[in-house]
Parts: sequence; structure tokens; C-alpha cells
Amino acid sequence: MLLAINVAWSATTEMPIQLEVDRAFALILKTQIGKSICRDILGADANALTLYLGISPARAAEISQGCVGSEASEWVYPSSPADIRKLTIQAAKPRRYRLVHSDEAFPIESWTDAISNETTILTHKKPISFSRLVQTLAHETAVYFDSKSHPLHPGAQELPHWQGLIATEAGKMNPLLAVSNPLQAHTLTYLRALQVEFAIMHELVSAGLVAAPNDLSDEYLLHLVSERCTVTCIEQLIINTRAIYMPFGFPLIAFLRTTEKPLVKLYPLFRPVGPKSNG
Amino acid sequence: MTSQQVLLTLPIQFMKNQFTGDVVADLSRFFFRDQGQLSDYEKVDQFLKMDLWPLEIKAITESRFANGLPLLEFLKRPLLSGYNIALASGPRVRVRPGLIE
Repeated sequence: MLLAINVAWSATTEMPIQLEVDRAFALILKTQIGKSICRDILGADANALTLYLGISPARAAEISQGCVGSEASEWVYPSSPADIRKLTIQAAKPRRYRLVHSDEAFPIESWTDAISNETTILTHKKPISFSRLVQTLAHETAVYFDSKSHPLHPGAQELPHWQGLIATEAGKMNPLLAVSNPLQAHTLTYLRALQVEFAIMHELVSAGLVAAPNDLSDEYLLHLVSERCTVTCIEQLIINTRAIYMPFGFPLIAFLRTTEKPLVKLYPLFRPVGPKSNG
Repeated sequence: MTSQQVLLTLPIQFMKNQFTGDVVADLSRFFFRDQGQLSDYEKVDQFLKMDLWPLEIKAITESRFANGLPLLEFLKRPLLSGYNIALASGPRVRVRPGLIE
């Protein structure tokens, strides 16, 4: 296995990216959603911009001063840097990005590792354009602060959005466990992040600050982010994307942990959640 | 091992060996299957597809909130905050046109 992988990765190059990351975030944080993330989650604090977004300290100080003067985004639930409980191997490890250019086609374009606080951006065949980088970082920022990604996590209980809202639970499995399976959870995180990414990119493109990436006008993606995509559409997306994730479903599950034990240990415990039978 | 036993033990072994400090090697291990463990992977696939999925899809699509909002539509709406992000991670996959409403 390792031999095959080494061959596949023989044309892999890792490129420095910090300057472009700084430039990209300077734009992203000028948008309405970007300002709201900066101000309402990160407290317009330069250290928080470095720690959670990976902006260099010098640029973070400058950018943080611009995180004012915009209405709160309906997608942002105000919190503070002190509320963030990011799981890292090393406490307070600043966010890092790696840009890996490979001849090998990976099944994904970027990957944020919750534990190492590192985002790897994979490019195939050609270097990433600046507008594509902005788009990718907008998406990864939405993934990073996505607060619906794991409703079983104790942190979800801090959010009023979840509390007391479940009215019915169909079938024999707790739906919160079902949507926490990474084969479903990553698709739903993707769908939420896609809307944030598109909103940020449309604002920047309209202002003439970046070129429009090709897929910003993709009809299917536009349908996904529209209000026309409801239950049937989302269900079909999950089914389609499961086929992409399934080949690495096993390691995806390995990565998903509750605070104290792997989620996989919960699977044998699932029980019917409907009315208890008298028998 | 049964599929259930595989799912209970191998992910933990995988995590213990995941971080070598070499991002390329780590990602390769993640996205390409270890040929020596194919039968174990297949057992996990089988469990995920045949045992879990029928239960999951029903729970996901038929659940609603008290105000009538389907769970899936609630989950579609972005919610960004500092809460509950300890585990926020994942791949970015560009989906291709598929069946839509």
C-alpha cells in the first residue's frame, strides 16, 4: 500500500501560502458575513484572528480594525472567543494552512483537521488561482465555525436553536445520531458552508474585488443554495455524496469523536426512541 | 471479526497511527485504502450500508421540529458561532450535478 501511495505522490509539491491567506482574509472579512464573524464571534481581536483564522499577526492587527460598521448576519450567533472550545493536540495552537499541489486527483479539495487545527488545500494539475483560494478559505471558515456539525456534542447544548425543538423522532434511531454520522454530517456541513461561501463570493465579485470562479454560476450549486432545495433535494444530495465518502467512510468515522469516547462506541447503544412498548 | 467488531476497534487503531507529522503520508493513509485491510474495510462498508443506513435515512427524513420545520431544512441553514466547534472539520467536496427536485 505504501509503495503505491509513494508513487502516486511522487509529483507532489507543498507551496508557501501565508501571504495569499492574509490577502484573502483581508477581503473575506470586508463582507457582511466576514465582518460579523470577526466582530460577533472573534470579538475583533487580532490574536483571535491569528489563532482561529491563521492570519499573520501583523495583518491581523490591521484587519481587526475594519471589523466594524456592518449589521449582524442572520447566520451568525454571537459568542465570544472565550466560548470557543477548539479541540487541539496543543492548546492554543494557531490555525495553519498547507497548499499541496499534486498530480494525483484526491476525492476532496480541502480538508480541515479538527485536532491539528490545520487546513490542507489540495490542487490538481494546476496551481490554485487567487479567487479560488478566497472561495476555499470562505468555505473552510464556514466549516470551522459551523455549529450544527455535531449535535450530540455537549457544546450543542449551548445553542438555543437545538433545545426543545425536536418534536418527533421517527424510526428506530435517534435522528441526532443519524445526522452525526460523518457520511451524512459532512454533506450537511458542506451544504451550509456552500451558502456562506457563495454569499461571500457574490459580494466580493459584485464589488469587483475578485474574479468570479467558474462554479459560482453552476446551476446545480445555485439550486442547492436556493430555497427551492428542500427535503427531497437535500436527501438526494446526501445519497449522492455518500457514494463519494464511502471509500473513506471508515477513517471518517475514526475522526469523529465525542468529547470522551469515539462515536462508534455509541452505535451499539442506539435504541428505539419512540413510545416505549409495554412488553 | 464481525462488522460490528471491526467498527468498534479499527477506527481507534487508525487514530493512534494517524498523525506522523507528514501531512502527505497522513492524507494518503486517510484517502487510500490499505490493501492489507480490505476485508475489514468491506465489513465496515457492509455495516454502514446494510445495517445503519436504512435506520438513519428514516430518522433523518421523517424528523421534524415542533414548529413543523423538517430536520433536514433546519440543518441546511448555516449557523456560525464559537460554540460546538471542537469537532468542526471535514472535507470540501464539489458535488456534480445529480438528481434534484
